[in-house]
Amino acid sequence: MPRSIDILIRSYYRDLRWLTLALRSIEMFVTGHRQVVVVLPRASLSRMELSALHGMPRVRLRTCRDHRDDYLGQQITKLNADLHTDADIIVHLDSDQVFVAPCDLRARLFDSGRPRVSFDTSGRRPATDGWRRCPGLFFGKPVPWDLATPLPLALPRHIHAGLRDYCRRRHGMSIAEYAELTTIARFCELALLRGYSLVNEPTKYAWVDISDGDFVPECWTFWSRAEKPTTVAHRLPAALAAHGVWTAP
Amino acid sequence: MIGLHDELNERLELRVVPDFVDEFRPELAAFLGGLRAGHLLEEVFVPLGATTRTRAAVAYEERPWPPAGIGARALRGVALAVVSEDGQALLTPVMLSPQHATNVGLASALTKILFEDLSTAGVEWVALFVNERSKVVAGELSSAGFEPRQARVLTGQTEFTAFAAKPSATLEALGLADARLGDVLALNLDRAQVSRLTALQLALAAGVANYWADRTPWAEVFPGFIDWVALPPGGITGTPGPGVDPVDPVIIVPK
Repeated sequence: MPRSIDILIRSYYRDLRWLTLALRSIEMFVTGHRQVVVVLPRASLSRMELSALHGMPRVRLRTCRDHRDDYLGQQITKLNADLHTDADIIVHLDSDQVFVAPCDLRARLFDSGRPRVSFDTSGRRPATDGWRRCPGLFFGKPVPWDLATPLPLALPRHIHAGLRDYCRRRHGMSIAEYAELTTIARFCELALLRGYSLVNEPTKYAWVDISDGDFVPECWTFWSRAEKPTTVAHRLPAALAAHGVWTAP
Repeated sequence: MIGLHDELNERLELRVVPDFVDEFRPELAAFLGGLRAGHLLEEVFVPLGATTRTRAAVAYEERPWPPAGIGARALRGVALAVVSEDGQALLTPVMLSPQHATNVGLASALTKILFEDLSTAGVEWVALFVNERSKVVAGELSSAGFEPRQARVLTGQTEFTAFAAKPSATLEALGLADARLGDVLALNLDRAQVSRLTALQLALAAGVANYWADRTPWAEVFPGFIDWVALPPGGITGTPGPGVDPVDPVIIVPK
């Protein structure tokens, strides 16, 4: 079992209300981790009232560089997650993911000491989809599974640096340059992180086919680009509503 | 309490861009259409962008998905500056989409990022052309540190006088210099400051409205659509040039 587990959330100004809600839910329901590392692009700092976050226990704020296209920017940040924390295991989450029931990360995200990593064989995402094809094109070999499944994703820190080094060797450029040369419809950072693990050290992970169910049912994934905390509040546990997170800050 | 415009303002992307018309042409067409000013695209913005150096602060919404491609962005506000070679910029009052006409936080935020950008780029003076008989706009601009200069726009029977100020001084006067952008957008400022910003932004928007409606004699503000590049040295009427007054040409608009 790893010594230290950090949750990493890459957020930005537009998701502040979701981020606040996510952090409250982690504080309320999640155990087994050391801290939550929130990474924000520098330009977002002037847009966000962060005082509500400063009082939260075990939440650490970090900044990263700005990207012209921040959708790509948040993908690149995740690929550099090991530069923002020294934890043995990094659990990637998004701002719009909310825990609704107790969840021990060490029990839920590990199987006999191996990180559980999700994939999907259902075919919901067609074989022609850009995100599904992304790891096959990147690694130069067929990847039969859909690796672009939702978070959470728990991976050892060395996977991130290993993937970046691999990109330089195989493609002659940084992973950020590779991402920028690829459209967002054809670049999926999560599929690449899972793909690197699958290609290089498959036996170190417990691979979980999520075609028949939720990977972590205690963690609900919303879509911050189209939903707001206020519109989903009625679906969440009353204990979270008691914090009044939908009207803050 | 969440303000009327807060949720929109939190979603908006705000940027200052050098090639506004090139980068946002389809979005600008839709935006101007919503303002019933679609003719300005071909009559003003396209030729202005082709011949003149501009800086524009833009605010736009992105659709949920996909975040790129046709229709992905919708302009909600624009603040435009025509920049000269000698450190001056002519301003057009902030244009907001009709449903956000009272979004003073957004207008102030666009002003803030545009003035900061111009100041960083070495622009010493920003100027607006104000009807010589204006009291409302002239008064609000004077309160914000603007002073009348010699430059004129003559159009029919109406004369507009340049009011100029240093961008950094104006930001200080309006209390925007040290304010966080998020606080400006949400108007999380003291009451007196909000009143000052409201008076200025609404006065400018109302002041230029008659120009947009083709009632220029009744406009208190003339937009900064003056092509500096085409202006002869010393101004059209031979008024002394920038050596005497950095904001001094006289411009005759045949309208």
